[in-house]
Order: sequence, then structure tokens, then C-alpha cells
Amino acid sequence: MSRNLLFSTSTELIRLPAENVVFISAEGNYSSIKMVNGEEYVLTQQLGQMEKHISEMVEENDNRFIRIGKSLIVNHEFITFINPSRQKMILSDCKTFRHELSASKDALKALKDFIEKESKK
Amino acid sequence: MSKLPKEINDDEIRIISSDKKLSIENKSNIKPSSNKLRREGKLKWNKLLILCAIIFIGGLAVFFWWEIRRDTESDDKESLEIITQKEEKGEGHSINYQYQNSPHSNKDVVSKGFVQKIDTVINNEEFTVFKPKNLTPELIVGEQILQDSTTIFAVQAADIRKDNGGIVGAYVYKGDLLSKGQAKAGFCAIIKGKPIIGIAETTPYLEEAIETDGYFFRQYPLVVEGQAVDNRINYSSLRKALGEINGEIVVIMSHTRLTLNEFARYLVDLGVKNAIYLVGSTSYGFAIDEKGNKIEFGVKEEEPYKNTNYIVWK
Repeated sequence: MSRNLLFSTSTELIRLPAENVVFISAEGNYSSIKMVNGEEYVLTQQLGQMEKHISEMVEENDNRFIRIGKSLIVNHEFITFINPSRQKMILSDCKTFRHELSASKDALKALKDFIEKESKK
Repeated sequence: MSKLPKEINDDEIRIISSDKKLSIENKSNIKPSSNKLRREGKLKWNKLLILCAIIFIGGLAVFFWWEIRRDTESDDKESLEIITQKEEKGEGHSINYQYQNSPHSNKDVVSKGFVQKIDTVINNEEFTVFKPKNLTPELIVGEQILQDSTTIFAVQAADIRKDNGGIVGAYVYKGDLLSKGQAKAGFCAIIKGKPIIGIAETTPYLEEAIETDGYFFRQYPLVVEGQAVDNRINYSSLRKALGEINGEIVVIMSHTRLTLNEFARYLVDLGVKNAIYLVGSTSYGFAIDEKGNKIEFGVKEEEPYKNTNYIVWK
């Protein structure tokens, strides 16, 4: 069970169900939230602030969001493919959307290890 | 109010959780039980104290030894720094080229680089490959670059929106994010003078370009890892691409009208490993060859868009 994520600035408010957020990417001083329905929200907040808000709002033991490097936060439940050597990762629900993202080799290797360990629990 | 999370490097990951304790940074996230942790902690502290004592004594010895040798070493270090600076500026390896009898240049213009033009034919289709030699790329917004005598090669880079004249997709100029968005999955980042071509909706190179006063733009992807990328745009036009052949960044132009898919397949046949599209059709640009000749292509716009932008090599 997860709650809504609420992002609020002096000019805007965005409330989103956590399970419908696919990834959040940094664009300088902005952050862009990609949703499962293809919608995209751009906020005037840096990714570090987004990470802080998420950590304050997610339920206990809800580890679905992972910060990858300086420019990306992903909902790891949508990760369908990781290839560290090709620096490639695909986020998809295997039905309606598919996003191909890149990150550093080391970060993707760490992510792959983490997901492998999670799946063995 | 809680603090912002600590800085993270691009090769690290961090689980975002409500307790803010669980995190992994290139390491395992397995945590030992609390009793074991306490016992191990005491042992670790004892070992740490002994280690600190050894390091302190060793440090004193090294300090005195270093003080004695410092004078002689400083002379060596000074000369080493001078050599490094010279190499970084490329003074030791640059090829000076004197342009003569060129419509572009005056006789005082001296450049260390040029553009090699190679005409080639693949399956009866003609292409020209431009190879910048000894040049550094950057992005420029505006037409003033066309009057800059230090520019050796200029090709239009990111597309411009016809409705509002804005740049399509994320665009970074000297670290400033001039435009946002991910309209096209292909990208070119220029980090510390080095161009990187790739395909990804998000890429750490965008942030790196911002942080390092670099450059970044988006375009249609054409070739990734030697494989042609399927594009939905199916009309034919004169095509230009920024590609990578054998680790060398080149610009390839078609002589005839092609669809993006046809162009991408020809690029693969040319041996291109990665490529993105550049503004095609009759977009204007020029190159200065090794003889100082100015090779112009496309048509100069009489009223160019304010945001017409170029990838240029100087």
C-alpha cells in the first residue's frame, strides 16, 4: 500500500500516486517526472530536493525509489532490463510504455546486484 | 526540517526509504545483527586506536624525512608543472596551417586544424564525409559564428520550432540550460571538448554538461552500436548526420534525398558506430579544408531564426 507523493513549490502543487511514477530525471534546476500514462510533470526543484521529499513521504519499508547517480530517480518495480556494460536500462510495464535510459556502468552494476539480492529475499 | 541528502556520484546508487538509513553505494546493503555489530564495533575501535598510533609515529618520521628533502624536490616539481601546462594547451603537438588564397581567410589567420573532405559512394548513393582534424567542437547559438574567422567547421545542430522559434529538446550552452525537454532520444554532449554521441531518454551527460560548462543538444537517433535505429519520419530530404567512425567524430552528408531510415542504413554500411541526425535539407554550413579553401553547403537564410544554432569546430 503506498500513499501519494506531494510536491509543492511556491507556484505549483503536484500530487501523484507513488506506484504510477516511472522515473524522475534532472534537467539542471528542474526535475521531470514521467508517469505510467505517459504524462510528464516538470517541477522547479532540483533532484536532491525531490529525493528528500520522497524520503519524507514514502511508507516505511517502501524502497521502490532508487537514486541513480546525479540525474535519475527510478521506480525499480518497472525495471525490466539492465546491461551495465552497454550502460543501458529499460523501464517498462511490458504493455503500454517503454523507456530506455542510460547511467554509468558502476551504478547499473550496483543496481543489478541490489535487484538480484531483493529477488532472493 | 531534515537536510538534503548527501551528494551522490554518477557511479553510485541510493535507496530512497522513509527511515533514511538503508543505502548502498556500489556495495552490498546487507546489515549485520545489532549485538554482533556492537561486539565487532568494540574490536574495530581497539584496532583503530592501535592503527592511529602507528600512523602517527610513521607520519612524524615521514614528516622529518620530507622536510629534509623538500628543497631538492621543489625544483623538480616546478619544471614538471611547466611541461604539463604546455601539453594541455596542445602547443607541443599542434600543426600550424597558413591559409593562402582562400576566400574565407586572410593571410594572417593561422589555425592548427582543418577539415578533411572525403567523397564516397555506397550502393550508387553519393555521400561526403567531413573529418575535423585537430579541432575542438562547441555549440554556438546565432549566426554571428559565420563571421568568426577562427571557426573552421560549422554545421547546424538542433532543430528549431517553427511556431515559437525555440530550440527543440534539451540544449546546454556553456553550462546554461537554454531549452528543456526530451523530444528526441538522440543526443550529443560535449564535455571538456570531447563530443559524446548516444541515445537515451535521460542521460547523466546532460547534468555533466551543465556542471562542467559543457554543451548538449538532442536530435533524432540514427545509429546505435552499429545498428540502424528505426524512425517514423518517412519523407525524403537531404540528410546530415553527426557520427562516430573508428572513434573519430565526423559529419556525413547525403547528396540525394533519402528517408531517415535509408540514411541510417547507409551510415551503417559506411562503418558508423553511433550517429544522430543534424539539421538537414538546405541548412547552411561550411568547412575549411587543409588547403584553406572554404567549402560551403546549403543556403544562407535571409532571415534566420534567433535560435539557429551550430556545432562548430575551432
